[in-house]
Amino acid sequence: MSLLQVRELRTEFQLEDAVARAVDGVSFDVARGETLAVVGESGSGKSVAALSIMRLVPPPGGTTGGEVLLAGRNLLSLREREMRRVRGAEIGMIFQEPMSCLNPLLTVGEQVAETVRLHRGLGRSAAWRHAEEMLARVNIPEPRRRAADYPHHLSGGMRQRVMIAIALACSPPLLIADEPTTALDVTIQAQILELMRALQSELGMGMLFITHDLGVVAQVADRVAVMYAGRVVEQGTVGEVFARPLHPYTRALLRAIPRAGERRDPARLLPAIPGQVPSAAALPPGCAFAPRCALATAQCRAAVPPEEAAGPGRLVRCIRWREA
Amino acid sequence: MRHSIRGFGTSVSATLAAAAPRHVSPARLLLRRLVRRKLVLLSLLVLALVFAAAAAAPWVAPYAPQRMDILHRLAAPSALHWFGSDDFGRDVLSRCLWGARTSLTVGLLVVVIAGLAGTALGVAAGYLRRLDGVLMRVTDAMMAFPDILLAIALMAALGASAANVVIALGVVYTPRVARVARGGTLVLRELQFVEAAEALGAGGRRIMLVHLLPNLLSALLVQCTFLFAASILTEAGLSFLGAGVPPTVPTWGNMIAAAQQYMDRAQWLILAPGLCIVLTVLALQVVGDGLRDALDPKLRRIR
Repeated sequence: MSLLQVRELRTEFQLEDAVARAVDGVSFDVARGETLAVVGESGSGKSVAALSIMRLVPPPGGTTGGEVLLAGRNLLSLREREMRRVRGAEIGMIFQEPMSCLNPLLTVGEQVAETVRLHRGLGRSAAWRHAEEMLARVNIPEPRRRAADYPHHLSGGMRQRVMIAIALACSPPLLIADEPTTALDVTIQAQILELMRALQSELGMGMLFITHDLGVVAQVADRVAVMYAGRVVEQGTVGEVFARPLHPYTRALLRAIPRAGERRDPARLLPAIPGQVPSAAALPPGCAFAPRCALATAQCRAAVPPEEAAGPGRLVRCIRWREA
Repeated sequence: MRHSIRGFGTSVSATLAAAAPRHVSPARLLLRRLVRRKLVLLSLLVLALVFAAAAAAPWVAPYAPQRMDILHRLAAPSALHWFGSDDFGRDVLSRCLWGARTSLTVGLLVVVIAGLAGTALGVAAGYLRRLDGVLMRVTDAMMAFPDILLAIALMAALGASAANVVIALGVVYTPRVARVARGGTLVLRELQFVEAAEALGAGGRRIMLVHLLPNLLSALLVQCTFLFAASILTEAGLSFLGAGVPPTVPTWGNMIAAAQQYMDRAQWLILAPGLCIVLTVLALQVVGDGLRDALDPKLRRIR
């Protein structure tokens, strides 16, 4: 059984005059020791899906259906008090902005210690020692001195390391990383990804890695789920999906990656996907990608295509995938 | 940027320490930055003097505040009575000193009551969305009344005494603090460290006490300084109107109220307590402004 099983997850935002279906029947699994990357552009619902797993979707949003099974237990049916014990202890979470993720008034040591004190009931000094150990584990130099520093003393990369230390302080079996490297420059990004990979294999945890960067997906993930307008349109191992994308959207995304060293006719632009992502409050009745898809037929526009198995562990939501 | 509202999201120690070597404490830095402006320094000295005078009134006042000297009624300022004497021959300087005790005590207590209640309500309203609508409509309703009018109505219901003035003004000014605390909370709540704390399993009480409140303190500190000035003024206004502290107790407002009958003959009766009010309130306002500038990271480079 997988560590995390998300089944038909639905999260909606109740707007004044409409309902925005941010996550619309999303299913995926994350096994222990495995990394599943969820890719999609802004507004595709990937972050809301992560928040739904944590049950932290801000109002007026709410999860209206589906199951989130963590080691077989449905998180959506827990009481808030029980859910609080899951957050931080069984699921760690890292966010995008290392600059605003830390409380400016607490030392980083206190912030790492806070989690273990909360979940493990450690005393002040034991928690502090644990915090120093965690800072050492995320390769922060001079962890003892840094523990007494305030967040503004640290660079963005160091703060993200602190965030990782906080998220992993209780050794959670699952880590959710919501665009953890987007705000960092490329060299620091590589270091952080390397660190996360090392810690993952050390702790054997499952990782749900949310990003919009296909390059990052190739570096960290075992499997990938491509999201578009609140639905997973394609799922499979990174190798398969990158080598043989089945959904037109995935193909268009991969074509839009510039490649280093490639000789390019300057007059020819990088291929882009025409049109725009539909609003989550006004999704077309059929396939959400149909308005931008060259292969779309009347049937595509009539009904949402079902998720079809296209091989072991390979799912695609397109009625014409066989033609790919 | 997300820290778009001034002063929130950054904080006293963070903004101060960011610019300074580590070993200097935030409080000293704040003080250093405050006194850099001469007017602020002057105002701080005025406030120190007023507070010292109020504290030391029983020892430094030349006469007992209620001691009447019928032979020297309405005496002009002289070596005997520096600020003159009133219609009962009571020494105006002594009464000003004792009046400072009442006015400052009332002001301070109002700040404490309104500060605590307003902060609690404001943070709760800002963080717990379910409470927000109700609490803010109630504060709106209260703020729709002019301060002094609401205070008079409350005093009429409670009866005249210094303690009731504190209660009435505390009630009047709580919504003001609540507004500021709620606004700051709404800004902070959207910052990711609050979301991150929630994702780590922190409960509502912990978020409010550990993550929201300390980050609000600088804004609340500034607000409380202005509140102090406002409550001294309103207290004086209430006393002047006869709806405040009973006239037997010397307060600046009571003194002015009693003095108005003799305005044509004994101007010093109004001048002394009037100056006390003006100087104290002005000094508090200047210090409040200075505090706001000193705590504002965006203005830090203006020297």
